[in-house]
Amino acid sequence: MRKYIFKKLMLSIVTLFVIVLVLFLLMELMPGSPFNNDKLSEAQKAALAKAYGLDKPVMVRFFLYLRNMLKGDFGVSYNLSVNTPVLTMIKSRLPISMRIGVCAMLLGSVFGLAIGFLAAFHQGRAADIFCMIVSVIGISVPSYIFAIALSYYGGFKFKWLPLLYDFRNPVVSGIMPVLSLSVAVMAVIARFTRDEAVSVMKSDYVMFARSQGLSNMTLLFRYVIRNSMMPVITVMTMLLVGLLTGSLVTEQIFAIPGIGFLLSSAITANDYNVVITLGFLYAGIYVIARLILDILYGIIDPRVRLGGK
Amino acid sequence: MNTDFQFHVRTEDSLEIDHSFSGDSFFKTGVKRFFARGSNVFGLVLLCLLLIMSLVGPYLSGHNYAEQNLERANMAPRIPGILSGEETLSGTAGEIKVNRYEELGLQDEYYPFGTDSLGRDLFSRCFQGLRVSVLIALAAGFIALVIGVNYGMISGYLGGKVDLVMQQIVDIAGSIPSLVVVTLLMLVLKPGVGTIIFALMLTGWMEMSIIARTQVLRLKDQEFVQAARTLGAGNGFILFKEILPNITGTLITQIMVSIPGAIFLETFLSFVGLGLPLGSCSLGRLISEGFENCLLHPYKLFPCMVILVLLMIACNLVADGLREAFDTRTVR
Repeated sequence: MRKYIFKKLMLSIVTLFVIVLVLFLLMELMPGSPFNNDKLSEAQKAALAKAYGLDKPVMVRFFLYLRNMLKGDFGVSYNLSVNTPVLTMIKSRLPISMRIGVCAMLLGSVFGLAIGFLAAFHQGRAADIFCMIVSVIGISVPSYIFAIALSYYGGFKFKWLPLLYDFRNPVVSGIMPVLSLSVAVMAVIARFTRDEAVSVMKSDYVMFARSQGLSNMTLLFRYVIRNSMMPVITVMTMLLVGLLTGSLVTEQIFAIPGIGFLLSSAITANDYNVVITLGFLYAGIYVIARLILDILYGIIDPRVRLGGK
Repeated sequence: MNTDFQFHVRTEDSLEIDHSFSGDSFFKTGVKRFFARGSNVFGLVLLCLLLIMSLVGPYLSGHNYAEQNLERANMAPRIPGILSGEETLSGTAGEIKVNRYEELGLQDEYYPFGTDSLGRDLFSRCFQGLRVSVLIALAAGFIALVIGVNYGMISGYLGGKVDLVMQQIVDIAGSIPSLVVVTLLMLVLKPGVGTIIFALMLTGWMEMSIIARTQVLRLKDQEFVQAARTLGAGNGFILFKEILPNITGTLITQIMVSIPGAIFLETFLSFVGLGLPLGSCSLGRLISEGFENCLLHPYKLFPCMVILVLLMIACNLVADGLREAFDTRTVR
């Protein structure tokens, strides 16, 4: 077991290292520089580059970056808000994205699980068909289309809710972003739960339990939910990781000052440090979530940790 | 009802008639199973209709998709007998009704989806955009298939240390969120169709390779492969003439599964401003152009969004159907 965890841990660290390297090299290849102001003379540009250490060779800068990063220093912003440490910029924005992400996740999971189990228990009947239609639509329609439709009808035409996000009033103005993000979550979870639950219900042990005369409710809580939750939890974790870091487009549509909005503005402003740090944040959360899932799987299911032997 | 013994009884309704016969080929059973479900047929018909429209749509309205006519900018949709071409504009002075067709004296002109801010016919543009989006998705899916299948088949077939290293590479590459890679890549390379296809391919090949590897692992020790080997067939022959034909169904299904994702990514990138360059025409560009003034002229956004949604629904339905019909893992 210890060996398995160690192996997974090492793999995660290597992955993170590769990610930093890839991000760094990609930024090197990027056209433009953070100081493309016409008023600056060549000498001033050189002085600026020297001040920020941009005149050193690529590899030296990479290892300097890596060393600072391990100390928790991700550099300062060049452009968006000059000389603010990137970490400070992220710190103030992350909670906004996370709050919306978690709300969307909760809303989507509750409805997704309910619809999924309902459909599995009424396989082939109206509830099942309803579940299928809902999940196909939810998976097919991109969340930004829901966001646009909601903001047009709910925010502009009928003026039920504020059109844009307002951080003085995060609850009311957060309703539409949460709703539009939760639809896809709900659809994916409903589909997955249904398929898992159906395959559990087809299994011999459920057939046996049913033949002993257990009621549907007992069957659901004692057999079906327990045995079908593992894969569903994996999907939920991955969805949550995607939502935590905010959605680029949804944040743009509702003008939410979150992580996704920061990333898209940093990309347009050539703000290297911000882009690398955010890319690393996205990747880091993802890698850590996978590590936790892998270890949990290894603990629960011995076949996983002994796999391939 | 509550008795000690309650057996699970098969009634007349739940009686299942066996529709697959051992004499039928794998392909034939798959097709039968596919067409047995209404939703699959619906998806297929919808997909065919959309594909036909992507071929002929741009020529139906009589206006070229790229032809600009500033005089006829921002015309609302007009269809004989259904839409009059009138639109309601709400401004600071309250709501006013405008009919640009009458203002310009174009009594016999019909733009079914209206025109955009440069006077281009949105009907032609929507279906041209559909064509571009589908082509991008197909190209990306196909290239990903070629790379992924070769990678996965070699990894699975050779096994041992090679497999271990190759799988570790896939593991690491798969942990990098595709959104981050694609976004940065679109910044580094010149925007254009080729770049988008490249970016989509980068994110698509891993899944393909994992599927191809699993399939090869399943097949490589079976009797027909051993027979071929005994008869002196080389590795290349066994891989491409013996194993590949047996996993084609799964691979085609996987292409179909990857298409909605590719289309979504293209529209998403264009929306963020990283997709195709200005002036080109794809569903993503149309949606982001329509979004720019959707509060004033919502008709510009509506048709291309509906087309995108229909396309996604059709692809997802067909992909689901194919997976159920051909996937060897769910064969009942």
